[in-house]
Amino acid sequence: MGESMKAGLKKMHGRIRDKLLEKLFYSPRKQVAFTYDLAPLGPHLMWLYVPEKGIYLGRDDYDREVYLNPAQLRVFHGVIIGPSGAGKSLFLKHFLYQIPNLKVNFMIIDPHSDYSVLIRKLGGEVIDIRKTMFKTTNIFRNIESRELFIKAVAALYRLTEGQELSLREAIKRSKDFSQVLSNLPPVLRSKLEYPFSFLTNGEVDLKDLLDEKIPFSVDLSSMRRERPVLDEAASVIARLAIDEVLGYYWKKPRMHRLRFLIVADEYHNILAKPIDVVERILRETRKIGVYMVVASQDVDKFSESYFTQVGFIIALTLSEGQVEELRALTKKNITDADELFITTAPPMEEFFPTKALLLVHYHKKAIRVRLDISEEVLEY
Amino acid sequence: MRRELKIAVILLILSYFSNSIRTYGYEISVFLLVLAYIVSFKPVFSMLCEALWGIPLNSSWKTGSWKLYRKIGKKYEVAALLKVENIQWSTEDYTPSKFASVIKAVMEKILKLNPVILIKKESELNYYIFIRRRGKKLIDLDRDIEASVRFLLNSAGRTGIDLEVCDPKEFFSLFNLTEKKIDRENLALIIVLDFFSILAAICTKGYLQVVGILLTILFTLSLFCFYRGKELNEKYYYADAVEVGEIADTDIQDFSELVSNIINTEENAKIVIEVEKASTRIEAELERKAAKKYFAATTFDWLGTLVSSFKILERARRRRERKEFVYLIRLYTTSERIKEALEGYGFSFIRLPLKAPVLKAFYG
Repeated sequence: MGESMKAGLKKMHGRIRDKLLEKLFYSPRKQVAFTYDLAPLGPHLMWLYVPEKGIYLGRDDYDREVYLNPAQLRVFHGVIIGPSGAGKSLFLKHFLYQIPNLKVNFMIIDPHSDYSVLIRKLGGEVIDIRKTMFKTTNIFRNIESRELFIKAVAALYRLTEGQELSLREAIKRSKDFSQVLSNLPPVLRSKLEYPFSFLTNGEVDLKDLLDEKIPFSVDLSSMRRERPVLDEAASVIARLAIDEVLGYYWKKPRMHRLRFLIVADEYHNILAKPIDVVERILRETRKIGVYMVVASQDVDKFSESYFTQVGFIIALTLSEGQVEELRALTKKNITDADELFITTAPPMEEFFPTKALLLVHYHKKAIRVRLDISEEVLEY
Repeated sequence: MRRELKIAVILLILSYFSNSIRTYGYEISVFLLVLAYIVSFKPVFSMLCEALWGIPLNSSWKTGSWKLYRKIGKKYEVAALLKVENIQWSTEDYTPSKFASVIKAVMEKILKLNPVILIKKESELNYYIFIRRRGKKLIDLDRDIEASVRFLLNSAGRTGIDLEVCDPKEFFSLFNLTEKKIDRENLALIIVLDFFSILAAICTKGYLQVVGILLTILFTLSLFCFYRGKELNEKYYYADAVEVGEIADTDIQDFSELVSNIINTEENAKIVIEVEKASTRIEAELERKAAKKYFAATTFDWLGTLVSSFKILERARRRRERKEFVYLIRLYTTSERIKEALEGYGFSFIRLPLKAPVLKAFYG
């Protein structure tokens, strides 16, 4: 039998077979159904999506593990809100403890020396500004940084226009803060001597830490013991540390992926007033892969635009009023069940965060998380 | 399928006994035998083919950037696969009445497009919506499918469901299909049976000869139709009746929550729903059907039929009062827990010995 005949027979067989199969193969009868008959099979049967990797937070209502995955967030800027006693510091430790797993470096502005042990445990450097100080170079090179710094100092120390001008001239003519101090007029020098004196003996080069990807904390606790007068000085130093980090990364190739995280505890005391440095960071630093997570006690310390720019919000135990504010500011669908969940805490022997509401930009509603703080963190 | 096989068995029994009737006994029994054969031919032939060659899958789909195309004879078919990426609300987020109205709006928008829905739970839960259009002009079909996808994306987005168009390659991996290895023992058995049935058809006479002829047709046809089929290692249940009566909004929400909990906690589960929009005249047909059943029930005093007639009437009334759309559906599931939950809602399921109908819904 020739090849062509074989092929022809095969083709014919195929045609007949396909027709036979189409006609003779059994199909179950269709059933009559109405819309509500199929209601339990609608798309809502899916549970709210939660990422499966990243920073582990705890378990949701359905007992699934909840993670915060930087790769799935538009930006990794975040806000952690929790009133005094809600376990904010412990939660932040739990959060920081997992950052090295993401293979990114971080720094923390630490107003109470809460994180020093943890930072050392993670192989990082604690910059206690009473003992050592980081070198400040960026504001002497970068005009924008200098202007922002002058504005902040002027607002913090209520400088007159003339004093602001003198400060600008002094910085322009100097290469470090000891020169700035000597170039300042005597009245202004006495006013700024306290914060600037910390900056004159910079020993730690942040560039080295950033190059070697060593996490570090800027420990402001020794200054803040003299509260309330010295919050301004702490604010100046925190701003300079952030500025140094940003200056370093602006020189690097552009990258949106998270590569450095700035974490600031007590945002409302250190960075929010009088000029909010964070809002600028939220808007601009995505290009360089530097993101910022701030922790604060109150919802009303943040503006509405703040909430539109962050990728996630974690609210620890809140009051009814705070929930209302959060609802209004974030425009998220925080239900009555969410409110009940977050405003009540089970009785406990020690302050320990057990619940959190996680708001992420890709969900309209909140994810209720039963926090699962790692036992290792409790030791630090 | 169960119904067809039941009728065939009854007819076979009747056929066997009617042989002993003196006048026209033989003719009646042959007639009943042929009737039983006709009634049961499709299911039996399909089972035989699936057992021998696997699931016939003559899928000639070609992939575009996001659409799928194929040619069937002189007609074309264009399709698109969409997936639910995220939902902004779930069952417990609403009051029962609000939930009922929202879910009605969502489902009617989706089902309007005659989709095939696949709810697949493996390591994660995926909700696929497959829409297809068949016709002679490819350009019109293309435009039509684009409009349908746009409509679905927009309308779902407005109700808090984020849909995304899938990569067409995902379409081919919806089911874990493997090549069917032909079982030589089964094949040998069918050949031997075919041989004996041919012998019976030639060498015997009377009733046995008819049986031989009928079996020869069945076995020879199934051997003739050899093809390289696929295999699917899943057991399917098929909804062979939908008798959801009067339901309160709380029932809708409760059952939705129950199904949601089950599907999300199952390790492996699939639900396939093939939907076709039907005429609303079906309501009148339902009322007629209820009346017929009521008549039979009261005439013969059958309580079961009476209850069934009331149920049908209840459904017809519900549809009219709640302004629901009517669909013709085929519903399959692999999960026993889902099956039980839906049985509580008013569905009734049977085991489906075939897998071809499930795959035909997508690839056929």
